[in-house]
Amino acid sequence: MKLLRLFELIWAGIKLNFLQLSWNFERLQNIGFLFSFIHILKRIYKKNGQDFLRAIKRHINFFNTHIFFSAAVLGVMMKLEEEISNENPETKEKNIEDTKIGIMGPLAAIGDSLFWSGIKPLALLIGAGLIYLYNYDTKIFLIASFVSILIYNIPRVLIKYYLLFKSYFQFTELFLLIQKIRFQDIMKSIKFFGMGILGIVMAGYFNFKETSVISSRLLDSILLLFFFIFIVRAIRSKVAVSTIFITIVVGSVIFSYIIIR
Amino acid sequence: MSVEKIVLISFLGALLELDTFFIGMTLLSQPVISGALAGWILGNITTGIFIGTIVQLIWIYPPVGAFVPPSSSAIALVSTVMTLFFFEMMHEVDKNSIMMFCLIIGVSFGYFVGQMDIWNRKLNTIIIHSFESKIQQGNIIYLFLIQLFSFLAKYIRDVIGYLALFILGIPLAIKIFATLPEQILFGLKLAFWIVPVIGFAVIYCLFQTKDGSIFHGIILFIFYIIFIFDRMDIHYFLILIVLISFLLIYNSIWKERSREN
Repeated sequence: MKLLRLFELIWAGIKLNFLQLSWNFERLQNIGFLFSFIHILKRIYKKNGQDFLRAIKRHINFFNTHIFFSAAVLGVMMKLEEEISNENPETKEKNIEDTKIGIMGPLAAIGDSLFWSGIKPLALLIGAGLIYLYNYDTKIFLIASFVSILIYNIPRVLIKYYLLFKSYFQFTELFLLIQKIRFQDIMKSIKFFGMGILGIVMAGYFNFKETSVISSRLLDSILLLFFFIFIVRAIRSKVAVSTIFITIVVGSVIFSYIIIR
Repeated sequence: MSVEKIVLISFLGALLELDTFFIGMTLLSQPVISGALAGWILGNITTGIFIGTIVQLIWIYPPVGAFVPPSSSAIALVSTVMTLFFFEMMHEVDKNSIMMFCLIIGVSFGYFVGQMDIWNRKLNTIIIHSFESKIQQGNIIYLFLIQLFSFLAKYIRDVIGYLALFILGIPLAIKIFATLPEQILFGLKLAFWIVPVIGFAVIYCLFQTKDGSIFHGIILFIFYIIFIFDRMDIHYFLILIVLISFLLIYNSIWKERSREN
């Protein structure tokens, strides 16, 4: 068994940042995935050998998962490429292909919900919230950007490299680990925390904002709260954000034509 | 404002644009950063932060699978550049009407960038088809070339897009704006007052749970009352975020684990 060097794993992880660079509608992230560990395939097989060419053909096929959780697929693939014997290429092909297809989907679902519906909106909310609550000066902006980048990137980097090493060194335990982690509870906690922060940010925005149409602060806040409820209802009814945006612009112009003659 | 600054913003904006989906996805391309960057180069960072913060929460939906959303980074950057040009040319017009008008242009361009990304992904398929047979023969340099061409196609296209908009679009937009009647200007001001609420509604819908909605309502009410009397110190707010984050991690991971044991 040829054990890969630590540096090679880290380098593959760094190259995973380019996973979506040549995203295409045919096979999605295939080129990015192959690109991220071609140096490892080169080391496992001798260059230009038949096994190396077979490995390339295997991994140039369809690939699609969450960008940060793709590290787990990468680790597993490296391990399988290294460990499964080359004596029976068809069996190896089937084993690797089946494993890849089997883990891509669940990882994409977990990653999409954790990052795109949880950590990212929370990080952006805290960043924007700090600016709304305090002011628009450079110091607050720097703190807000730093905080939001930190909130998003610490889990991003930790999850990515943890999954990469775990899936390579303790490949059999990976599936057990995924089953064990309570993503539902984590998501519930993030959402609850996010709602609290949103409450604080909205309270601050209604109190401190400089743009107001009505001179009474309380009446101004109540009207904005009314619009908030109206927009929430529209989003829940699957109205697109762009449609809401256009409706507000058109509605405001019509309203101003009514009041200014 | 010089042409050099516009060229610099176009090159840097296109670089940030890569982070939205193609490379890394590190949140460096968040609207508040792209808005502030444009504002800083043009000598008015506050306006950039102001516009970026509004955009930050509205167009938050990420590109999942084949879905291509509008570029929020481009929306903030274009709106800021346009706004600052307008501020320099028009001193008597209400600033909120100008910002709303420029935001509409920014949103249109953001959707156009999303459309250009679809073309780019189609182009990637063509590039891959041209080089695939060579990769399968073991010439892995072509793997690198596909990534490089995809990068250049996206980057150059975005730079050209920004430059074309700034050079041709700004004079045209100023001419159109100058013809707008009082009613439309007031309508734009009114819309600009409502638009930030869309961002809050988007986040609310993302995080909404039954308990979370009640919690949000209570927090909003309590903090609205608190903020009438005093603005919370930024350090307390940051400590609050850190404390709740620890509670969140403890509650969702360790507490459940200790319960199992």
